[in-house]
Amino acid sequence: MSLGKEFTKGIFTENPVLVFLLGLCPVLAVSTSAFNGLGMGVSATFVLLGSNVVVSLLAPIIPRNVRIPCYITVIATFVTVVDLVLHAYAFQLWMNLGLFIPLIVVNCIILGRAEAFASKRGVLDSIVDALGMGLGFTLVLFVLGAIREFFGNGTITIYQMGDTIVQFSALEGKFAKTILMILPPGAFITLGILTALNNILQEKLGKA
Amino acid sequence: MKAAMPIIVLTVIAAVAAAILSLVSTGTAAAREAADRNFKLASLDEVLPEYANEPDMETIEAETIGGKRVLLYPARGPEGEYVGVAVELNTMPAYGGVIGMLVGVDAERRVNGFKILPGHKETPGLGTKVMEEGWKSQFYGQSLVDARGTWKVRKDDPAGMIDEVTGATITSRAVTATVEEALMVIESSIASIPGAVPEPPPEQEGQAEEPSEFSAEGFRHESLEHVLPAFDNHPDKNALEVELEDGKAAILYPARFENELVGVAVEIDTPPGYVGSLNIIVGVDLERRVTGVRVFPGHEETPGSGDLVEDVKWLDTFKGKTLGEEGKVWKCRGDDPDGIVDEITGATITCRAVVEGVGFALEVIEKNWDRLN
Repeated sequence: MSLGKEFTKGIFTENPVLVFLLGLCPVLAVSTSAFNGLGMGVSATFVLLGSNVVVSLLAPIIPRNVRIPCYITVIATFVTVVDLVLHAYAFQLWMNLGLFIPLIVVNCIILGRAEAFASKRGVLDSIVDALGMGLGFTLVLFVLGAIREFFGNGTITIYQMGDTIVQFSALEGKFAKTILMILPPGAFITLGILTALNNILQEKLGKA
Repeated sequence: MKAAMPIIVLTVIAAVAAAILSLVSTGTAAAREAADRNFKLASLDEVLPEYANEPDMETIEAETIGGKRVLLYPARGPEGEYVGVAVELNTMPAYGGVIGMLVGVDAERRVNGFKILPGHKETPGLGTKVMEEGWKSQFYGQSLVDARGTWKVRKDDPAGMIDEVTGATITSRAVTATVEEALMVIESSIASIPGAVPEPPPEQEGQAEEPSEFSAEGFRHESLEHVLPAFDNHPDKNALEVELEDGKAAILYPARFENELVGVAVEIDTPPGYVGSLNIIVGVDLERRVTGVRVFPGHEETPGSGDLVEDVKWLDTFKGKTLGEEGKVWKCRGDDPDGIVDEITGATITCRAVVEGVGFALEVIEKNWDRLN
């Protein structure tokens, strides 16, 4: 498989959320606003990139029977780094994401990629794989967050740190807010629709 | 060697991970602390009147009625004068568990603002409406005294002063009760905040008190007879003034019989009751057992409830008690089952002040005992 394909598979054909329905806990829980989704996606991507690189490098020397504890230690290290750094430099986001940052440790996308891909492939492939998968994850979280925030709150927040807010709020107040969209059912409904759309797209592309 | 490989590899990975984390942790420690502090200060800015000090640097510990420890954040103006205080505490469980709150009052103990701290699990769009300024503004300017008995949401009590958020009654109720609780905590610990209780204006020398028949001298003279064991000297002529830690003064009246010390009385201010502090006089015998307590009239407690503490029958329940009484804590029984005395129904806050005041008086006597002989 070419590097290009390794990259795009994470976004479309093998999108971790829309196709494999992995990591749904953070996907559903933090996608209440576009910015939260983005923050979670970028954090997970960073961890995925780090763990893929380290795992692909260490795979040859890690004995098979302790590989999972080794991978988890590596992943947990990167997650803790993200947690500390966000706490220090992106306090607002850190507050919003709360427990879901530490929970990246047990996100099956990360361990899944380490086990299924990085441990069997070279560093370059693993980097591309991590970027593709991470981008696919981030994209879904961002779109999901944007849709939910738009219908539930009337805005789409791209960036919010301290007093600086970048958001689309032109239509705020022009229609009734649908609180359901911010609540867990809104996450399921939106995710279902996105998954269906992705399936249709895949089918069309497959036939072409 | 082959068998040891898993152990070696895992140990090395864990050691490297630990090294990296300790570096990152140390490297970000200052920034994390600063971020936490910024957040705290920003929250205090929201709830307190304008201030010039660093309230988080001079916190004071206080206790809720339930005995939970809470922190007070005193706010001061540019001259160091007291302008208000904030208290951080948790609500009773609301819809999604307890909610952390920061409640601020101004110098007159009126609600200046409050903030729902992050980490709550209330329903977005319903329970979270209690964070909206429009709803919160119902509380602003209210105080315990003004809004007495109306700290309720209207759904629970038509006399309540707070309109609950439709669809979020439970959250509204929890927040309303907690704002009141915060005011009560502040009320009962206001004396521990330096500068928060204004010095009484020097009115005594003027005419203000003259028209009333009440004379502090006369009351003191009479009270001493009641609160002390039999004596034949003039305790009020042998008074001994001592300075207390908070800068205020207490007056000791040693009682003697045939030149032998038989007891001592102390005149002292209680912590604030419902309105302000009360002046009390407490007598003890040589064993430092309470022989009597009197409350000076002239306080501002509510007639018909707070002023019931002047009742001699209730005050006599202190008789025979000592500071270190076994199995007892120096509190009202309503606050602690092992409390020293029962409070008077309807005057809990005032009773609490008197109980604390008597305890305080006993401490002063204990500390100054050696100076009496």
